[in-house]
Amino acid sequence: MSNLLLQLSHISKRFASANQTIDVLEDLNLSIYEGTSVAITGKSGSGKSTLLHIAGALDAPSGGEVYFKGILLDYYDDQLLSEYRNRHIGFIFQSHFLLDDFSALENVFIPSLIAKEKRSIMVKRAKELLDKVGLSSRLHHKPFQLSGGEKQRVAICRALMNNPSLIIADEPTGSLDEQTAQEIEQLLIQLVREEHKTLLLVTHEKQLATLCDTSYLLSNGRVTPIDE
Amino acid sequence: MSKPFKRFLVRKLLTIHTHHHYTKTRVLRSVLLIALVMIPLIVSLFFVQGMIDGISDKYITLQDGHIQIYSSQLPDTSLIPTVLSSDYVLSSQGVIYSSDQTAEITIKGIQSSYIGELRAKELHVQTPIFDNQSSSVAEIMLSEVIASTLGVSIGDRVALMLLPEGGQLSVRPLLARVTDIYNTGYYELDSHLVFILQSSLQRMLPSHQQGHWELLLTSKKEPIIQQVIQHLEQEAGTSLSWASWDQFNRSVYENFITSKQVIMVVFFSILIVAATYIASISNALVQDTRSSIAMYTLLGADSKTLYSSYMSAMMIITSLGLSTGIGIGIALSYNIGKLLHLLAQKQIPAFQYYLLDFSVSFPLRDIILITLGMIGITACALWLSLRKIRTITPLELLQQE
Repeated sequence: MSNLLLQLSHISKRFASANQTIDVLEDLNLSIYEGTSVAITGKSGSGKSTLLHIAGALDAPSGGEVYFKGILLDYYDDQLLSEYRNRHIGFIFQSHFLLDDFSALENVFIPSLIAKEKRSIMVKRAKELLDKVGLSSRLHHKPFQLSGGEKQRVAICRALMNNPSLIIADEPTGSLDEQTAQEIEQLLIQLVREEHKTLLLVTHEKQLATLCDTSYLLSNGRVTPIDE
Repeated sequence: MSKPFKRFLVRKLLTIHTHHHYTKTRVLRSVLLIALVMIPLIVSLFFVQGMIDGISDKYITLQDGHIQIYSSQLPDTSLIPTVLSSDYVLSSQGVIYSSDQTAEITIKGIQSSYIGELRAKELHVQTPIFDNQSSSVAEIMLSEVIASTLGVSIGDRVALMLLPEGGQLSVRPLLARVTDIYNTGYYELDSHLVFILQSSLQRMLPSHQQGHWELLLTSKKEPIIQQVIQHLEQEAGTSLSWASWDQFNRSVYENFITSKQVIMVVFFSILIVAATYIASISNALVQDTRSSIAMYTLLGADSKTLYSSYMSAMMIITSLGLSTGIGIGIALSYNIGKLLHLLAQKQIPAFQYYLLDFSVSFPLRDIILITLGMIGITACALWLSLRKIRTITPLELLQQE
């Protein structure tokens, strides 16, 4: 068996407002191994995105621990958490969240720029990635000059730019038409496998979930494996 | 902190390309506003400093000298390189009469050598002033202001009478011929100062009345004055009774200093308003790029780098505005002399108490002070307004989905 990459242990997440308290995640346990792809499905509001935010160190759990390569993330301060996100995690969301003023190439190499990578190396890698997703002719186009599918491809390249161990994808094809969604799904799975990455994916799409090695259903704050 | 990312981000912030015209021109507008604030401040500084120096120089050159020494004898000053001239002068208060007007005056009894090149330049007259020393009629030089009050011109005759001091003066009028009319451009001086040959004035003064020595130096700085006094006291072998230019007219120079301090306070108030505007521009910049900031954070940029990038971009805008404003301000100041000279010639009543015809002096210390002040105040305002960057989290972006 490959190495344990991410372990969520007894995770709980509670959102409190003036009137009520909602327990979104309760005693959730999930282990993700290097090189595997894991899909999380569940109804809207079941806490899928919250789970990804916790796994990606974007939000802190109300209880429980998150271990990355055996290291408890609780020990990380803001600076280290930023570095953790930058070097070890690639994010893909339903919206592409590309930066409007930056070209496709610039959007892709931003994570490497933050990581102080040498310019020539990062530009080369960004071009290679954009070439892989068929956007070599769109390097200097701004997001408003790209189609929805092209934007999402750029977002995938950005997620892979720093060679992260873990790709976290939240409904990556949710905003695309059926045909484009299928193309992007295939591309994502193909790239993750080619680059030997670990994928943690949240999706409504059963078809996309079946492309992953393991699928879980998130319900009542806990995950349970889905048998094929 | 990632310096490459910071450089990249600063460049992007300064060359932001959006479809919104307002956002696109924000940098340019900010630079222009700072420049527009700085231009009048710099011109005012030049004007105030130039006028203060100009007035001081007029008083020094024509009325008091850099040093006054109250003694009938003065050691040789020709060996002191910082002494430009030393002249023995007599002075008294008096009244001057034309056929139908009078004016109160300060009569200064000088030798013909007194009005050399330097003083002639301040008086705007050609040397020699007193052309016919053998004449029995005293020769007198008036200002345009007094001549106009009396209704006289060159060649006309006037009568002089000294004001008695302690009853020791015989009140006897003296007939004088106007040989020249000067115009220093400074009303306060022109309204009372009259020059007459010392020999003529001596005739009206009691024999025991002594004059004083007026020394012009190469500089009005305190160490130079002290050096000259030390040298002279050493030569004389005794301590001298003396006063320096600023002691002699203390209230005038203290007024200058107070005026300048008040002006600097006003300037700093204006700078605070300008810095507040810059802070509001930075607020708008952060607000417009809020989702980008959240994205940078999500991608691993730390808040310190982001804060520092925005701060640098705004400080570059401030510096650009400052240097543009200071540059244009200095260029205008060096050309404002012509405009002021024209105003001085027009003799507009509202400006009559100002010295308008002066040479431009570079207020380096004040410009440095204002520049540092602007940078400091802006940095403080930005520090306060950019703190909100630290509160922007990636979740804020994701909640927009």
